[in-house]
Amino acid sequence: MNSPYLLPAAPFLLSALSCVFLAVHMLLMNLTLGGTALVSIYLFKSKEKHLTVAEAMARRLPYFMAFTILFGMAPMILSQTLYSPVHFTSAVYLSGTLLLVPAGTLVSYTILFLLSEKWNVLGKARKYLCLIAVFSLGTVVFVFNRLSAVMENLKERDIAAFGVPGGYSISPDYLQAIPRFLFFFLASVAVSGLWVAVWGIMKLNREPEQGRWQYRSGATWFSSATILSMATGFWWLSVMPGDPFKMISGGSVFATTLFIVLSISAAAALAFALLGMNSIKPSFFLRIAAALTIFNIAGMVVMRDLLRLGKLSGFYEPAAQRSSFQWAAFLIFVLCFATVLFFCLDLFNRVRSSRKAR
Amino acid sequence: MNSTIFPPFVSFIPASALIAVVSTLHVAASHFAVGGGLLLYLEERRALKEGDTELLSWLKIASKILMYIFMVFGTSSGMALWLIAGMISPLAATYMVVNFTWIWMTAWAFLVLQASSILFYVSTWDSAPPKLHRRIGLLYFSSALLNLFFINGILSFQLTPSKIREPLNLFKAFFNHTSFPGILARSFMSVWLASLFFLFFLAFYKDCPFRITLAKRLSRVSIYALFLIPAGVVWYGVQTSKASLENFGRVPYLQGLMFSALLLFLVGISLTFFLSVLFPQLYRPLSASLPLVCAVLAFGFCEWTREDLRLPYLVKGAVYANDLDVRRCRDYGEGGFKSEAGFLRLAGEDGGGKLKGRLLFAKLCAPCHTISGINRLDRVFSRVDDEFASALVRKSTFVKAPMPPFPAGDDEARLLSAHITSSAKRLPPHEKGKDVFGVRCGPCHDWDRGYRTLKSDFRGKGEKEAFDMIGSLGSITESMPDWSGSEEERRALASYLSAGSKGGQEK
Repeated sequence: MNSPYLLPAAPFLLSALSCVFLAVHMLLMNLTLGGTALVSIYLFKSKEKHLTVAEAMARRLPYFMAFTILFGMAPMILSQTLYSPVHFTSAVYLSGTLLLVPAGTLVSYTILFLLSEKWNVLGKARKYLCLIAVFSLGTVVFVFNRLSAVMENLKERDIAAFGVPGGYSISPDYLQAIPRFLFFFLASVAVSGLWVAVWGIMKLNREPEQGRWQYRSGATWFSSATILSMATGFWWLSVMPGDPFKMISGGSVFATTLFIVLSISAAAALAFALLGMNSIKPSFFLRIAAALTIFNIAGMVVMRDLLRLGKLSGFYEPAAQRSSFQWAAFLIFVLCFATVLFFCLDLFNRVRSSRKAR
Repeated sequence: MNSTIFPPFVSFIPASALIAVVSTLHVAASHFAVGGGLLLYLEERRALKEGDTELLSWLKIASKILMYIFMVFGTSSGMALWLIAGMISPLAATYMVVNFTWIWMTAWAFLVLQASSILFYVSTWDSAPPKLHRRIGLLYFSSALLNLFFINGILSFQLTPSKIREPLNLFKAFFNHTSFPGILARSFMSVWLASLFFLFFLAFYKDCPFRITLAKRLSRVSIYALFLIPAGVVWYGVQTSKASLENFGRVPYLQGLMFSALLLFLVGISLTFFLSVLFPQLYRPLSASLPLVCAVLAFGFCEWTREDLRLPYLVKGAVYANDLDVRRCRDYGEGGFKSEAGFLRLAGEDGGGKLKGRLLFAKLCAPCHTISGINRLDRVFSRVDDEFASALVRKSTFVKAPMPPFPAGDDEARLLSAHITSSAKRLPPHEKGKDVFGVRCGPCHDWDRGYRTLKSDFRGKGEKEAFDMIGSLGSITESMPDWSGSEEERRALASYLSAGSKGGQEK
């Protein structure tokens, strides 16, 4: 299988850029999905400390959601460019199921804005709305996971999509999509737990009691969700076709090294979080756990790319696609993106300094 | 990609209609986001200059609504549009994504700035100094306009590509003939839409002099913008190729669509003037929603017209409306498509190739047609014999409506036409000559005005001559099928043609 048109840049450049933006998207997606799940849990617990942190989180979630979507667009464009035949064939295969993505986004985004704006007015409805938002976001993540699973399995299946049945039937993709989804969901709860914990540390000076409770609660969620996500991660690896174990156990030096490094850093993040949870001065441990987690998210993006390449090998090889570098257009993009970043940072600084001045 | 078939969601709506609905909503939201930015900036400047606190507090609410529509509805509908387009026309989507990757990415970069600035704008009404706040508003509008500029360049390429070749000359492709007229028309449309959106939101505000003053001002803006839109539209029309404009005569509903859009524009503007200037006491949410609905529909009809001017292409000269590659279609010959379309191989030899016929319909016709719903095929196919139905499929490029070529061989044409005729409710052949003309000749000809008229060919010919001529249709040109109807139909048609050519009464 080949791309029907010349790629606009070397596959490596497209892949590298896609990984960079996807890493940002994944971090934000974890905060949005996991954050909404934690707000929901805190709302059901309903104690004052829980409600305080839930409200503060809910006010920030629409912003995370906005940038999750924005930073999801760039890797989508780049991966559609790089993997066009497999991507679109998989999309056709999923058909109507894929429309759950915009529907779920619309529902969850609306609810998050509503919670952020009308927190006090909503009263008891908050927790149920929040549950709906978790369900909607979960649906979006599940459908995207399934899309990726279908893409990676095209090699094994006959790619003719036969009318309606393909989109809805129980197929082997679910075997991978379910552990894959659980892995992402639990990882997102872990990341959000860490967000709550680090935020708790930052509150220690102003509100010592709330801060202390918060970092302990956050670290607990981080640790337990990390352990569970590790277990589902192994489940996911075990059901992947194409023998991914071979790849990460010596088949590819880079993939094996990366897998080992990521496993160590995940275990280290867990250890630091546990140390931080029981320490009088948790800041050092939890900040290291946060840094390691961010590193892990970026590493997982690369790992996922490697596994996909491995599974599609012999069927669709991005590196073998013909390309003609549109360097002028690329340069315009780089310049525009740099300008946009400058304006965004400048805005942020000006707004922050004006707030301080007030 | 000929292996993939998008399964239609429902049998009475073609895939293109689904896109039309979603894109109308998305286009309305995204254009409102552009024009709304300009109006917010101008009104905030005025409010600060005049110390109008009431206007400032209303703008605060208006900016939140704009943010919601742009961020939540705009992004969700955009996502839906992107995904549906990719599923329905994978090849066209691939063409547009792969060739314009960096333009999409540049548009995306400005979208990031647009989203960041509106978030800052809404959240800093009470905290940022007025000058800074106004600058954030200006930044929002500028980034929104730039985003529109880049996306407009890509969209206009689909109708007026520079030259289809590989690799694509991106500069020429982006600055194609309708690129500048498109951005001009869209910019004014966005201001017009935004003023109507704001007028609608303002209708919910308490009855007070402020409400009337602002309503008058917004209606003035909408009228100015509306007067400037035709400049862009006319320029757009001038730059559109003659071949595309011919579609106004070939696609039956296109003239009506354009006329409806014009009518809705006029009704919208009259209602705006009527409600906000002449009779402000009638200016209520329900009545204020009418001009907005007119505007959104008019805008949707304009976009629909633009889409159908491209027919039979999705990307002119590169991809057909049913997602077939134009270049490959030229080279297929006998069996070329068959060997590429994996679904035909997998369908096997089931009872008489029924599944193959269904899949061929899903791949080649369903993007635009249904059997008995929108853009129905049963009007013709339910009253003709199998041979004629198969000829219509095979000679699709000769019909009046702009159609892609049929890429496969005679066997596939028979399977496809059999699927259509068997799915349509079979009706007896027409008895009246005029109706027979409609079914047998109408797909490719008009009688005295319009496309490939026949009146002059039959001038001075008697009924017998016409009858004989009908019998030898296949020998007139290669594009004409042999007569395969009944003797009764032939006689009725001959009588109609001969009487019509003499200006006699039509039977």
